[in-house]
Amino acid sequence: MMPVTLTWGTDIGAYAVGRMFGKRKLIPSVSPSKTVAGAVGGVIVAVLVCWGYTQLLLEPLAQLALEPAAVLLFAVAVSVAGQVGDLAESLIKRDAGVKDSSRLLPGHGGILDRFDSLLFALPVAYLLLTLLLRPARA
Amino acid sequence: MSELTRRILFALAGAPLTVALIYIGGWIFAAALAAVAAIGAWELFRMAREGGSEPLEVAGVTLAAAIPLFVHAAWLGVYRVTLTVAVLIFLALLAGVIWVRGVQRRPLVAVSVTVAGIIYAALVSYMYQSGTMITRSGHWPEQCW
Repeated sequence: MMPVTLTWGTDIGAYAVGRMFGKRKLIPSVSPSKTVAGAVGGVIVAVLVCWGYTQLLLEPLAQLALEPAAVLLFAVAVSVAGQVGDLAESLIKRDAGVKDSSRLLPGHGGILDRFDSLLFALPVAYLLLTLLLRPARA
Repeated sequence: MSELTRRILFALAGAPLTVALIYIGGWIFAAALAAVAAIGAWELFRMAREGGSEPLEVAGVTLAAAIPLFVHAAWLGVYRVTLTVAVLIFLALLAGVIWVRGVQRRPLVAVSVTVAGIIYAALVSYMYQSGTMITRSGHWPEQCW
């Protein structure tokens, strides 16, 4: 659940920050709406969400912990991977000449439109969790 | 409804559902991921067709759906797909498409797009890996399996 929460938090944070402060485009040839400010904002939101998740859920409920540096590394890596995944699917759609992957989810596009970030973020998250997760100290 | 509102609503609706599926775990979770992988593969193949490719949709959607189920089977120790089996499946796809479609219909592109679609859509299986890793820490109820 943690990678999912981080990825969705990144998505919402990047969109909100990009709308408020975004000026410089991130990679206009692939995704005309994404901005550098949005990308950075997404990473910052991910770090905050990751810290909150470990403090409020991971340690008390699962007795697992991430060291502070690990929280930062995990959040940044998963957030960046998720944003790359979003750009990758934008590239695929642009290559195909379609706006949405499908119309299965009214108002949201298709399944891939909602899961594109997760598809890149999840393997990164899994690898890092195997390396960084520790039992919480009593 | 604004785009931001749509994204927040999706997250609010999706989060409890995801938590519930991870909590339930087991074959139900794997089956849900299989459904997501199958739909994702179908969407990818649809986009590939729009772009001019002819992926092997039936085989691709089936194999994409199978991967989360095989991941679950591997976690249970029931069956583990080896690299050799994966290679044989790839060779069977390639041989089959060459035989059925011939050279003119670009069999190598068709198989490449199909394999890429299977792998891409089945990456959702890592949700099973991550979720099961935490639930198997021993601090969740047994039904999480």
